[in-house]
Amino acid sequence: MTQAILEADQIPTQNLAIIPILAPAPIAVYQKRAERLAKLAIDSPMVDYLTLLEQLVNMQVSLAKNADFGAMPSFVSGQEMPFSIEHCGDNQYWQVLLLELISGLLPVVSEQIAEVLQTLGQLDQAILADYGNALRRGEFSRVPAQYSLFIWAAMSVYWSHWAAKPIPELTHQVTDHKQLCPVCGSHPVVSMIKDKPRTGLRYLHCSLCETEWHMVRAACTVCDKDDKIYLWAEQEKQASVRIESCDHCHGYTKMLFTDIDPSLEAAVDDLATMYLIKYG
Amino acid sequence: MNRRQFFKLCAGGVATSAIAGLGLMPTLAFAAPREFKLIRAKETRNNCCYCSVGCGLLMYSRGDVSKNVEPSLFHIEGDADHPVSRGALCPKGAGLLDFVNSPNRLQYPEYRAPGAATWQRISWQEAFTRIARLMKDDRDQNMIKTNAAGTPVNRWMTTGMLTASAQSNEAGFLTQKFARGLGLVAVDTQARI
Repeated sequence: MTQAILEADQIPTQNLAIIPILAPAPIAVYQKRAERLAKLAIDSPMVDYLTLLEQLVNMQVSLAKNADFGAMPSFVSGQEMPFSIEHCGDNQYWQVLLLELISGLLPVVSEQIAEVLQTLGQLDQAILADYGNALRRGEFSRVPAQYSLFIWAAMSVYWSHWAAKPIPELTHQVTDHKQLCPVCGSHPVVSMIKDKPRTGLRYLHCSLCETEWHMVRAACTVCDKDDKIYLWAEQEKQASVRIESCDHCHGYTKMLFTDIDPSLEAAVDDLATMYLIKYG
Repeated sequence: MNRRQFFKLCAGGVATSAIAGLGLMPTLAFAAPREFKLIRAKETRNNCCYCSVGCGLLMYSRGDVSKNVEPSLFHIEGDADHPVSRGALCPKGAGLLDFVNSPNRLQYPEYRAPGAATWQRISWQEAFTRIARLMKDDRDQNMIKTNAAGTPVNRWMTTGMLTASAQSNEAGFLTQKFARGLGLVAVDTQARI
């Protein structure tokens, strides 16, 4: 961690309270993601896949800017995980987004992928709704693998658009569960050690709605125990990507230290460092 | 489904099968850029013991828990989650790693005789005996039992005591009892060093 050195008059003006939930700014998130993908695609053995992802994320940017998101999904104010599948199974608008996503991607992707996209676009609404629900429940094998990426991308644009709405009404009591996203109940992708709003705090990044929520460091993100926490890294002592593991539950989460490398992006760098898991 | 299964699925299952399903599976996609062994570091939360603020620390050490391996501390940083220090460290706290790993760190009692140029190592027993002897002699000679007005007092002015600076209430109570019981007036904590 870089230790900030402050002038005497700056010290009392800092706002040091921990903000428990950071609402997503979808356009900025997707723009950063697209830039990171473009950078990593150079010299990557996964160049084809990363380029496809970049095209996909660029479509997400334009959808987040221009799409019609309809009426706000209803939620009970102050309810725990108001947009989780248990409370909010809306399956209308993301399907519209999916069709827009497909039509935007079709002209730029290879023939093989265009074929997949066309079949996906022609699926029945009920089937798509079922696939969407299965993915949100974590039943990944129920969805044909070639479709899950695009369905998830469309759902992500939809939920990240609305995620900010219920956050101000979430009280401390309902955000005590740290394992899952306090807004949509999805699993986190990674831990981000942030430079802002305050250096060194850990936020978990939601895999669906891009919300980030605070969790104390040096504690297990799965079982909350804090006495057998290990960080695994490559050669460098202070690597910017490390894996935090717990010897109690044998769970682990990747940690991206954005105070060490500000260009790190939650979803992209999780993918880019997938090889680390082989050693976990 | 727990998190581990989830990540196994995501990493090994869904992502790879999604890539394969799209016909984009490169041969080397998931091969490590080079063969390496990950370095494992234990992450521990603790408090700085060098003054009564007790700033929060995150400490990283290498070495497993086996008996023949000495764990070695290689990094210390401020704990951003700590409600008092909020990740900040003073210059002394920021230099803690160098204290801990200093080659000059005192690890056993040493004694330098008056006029001698070198320190010699002594046993703890010798050290305790010598300190107790010198304290007793000094106290016997200099203890003040009454003041100018003839009121009984309990003052031992010729010796001072430097105590730990981040103690629990109970340890602080015992320290106070011990020092004042002897009549010590000059009591301070090492936070001022």
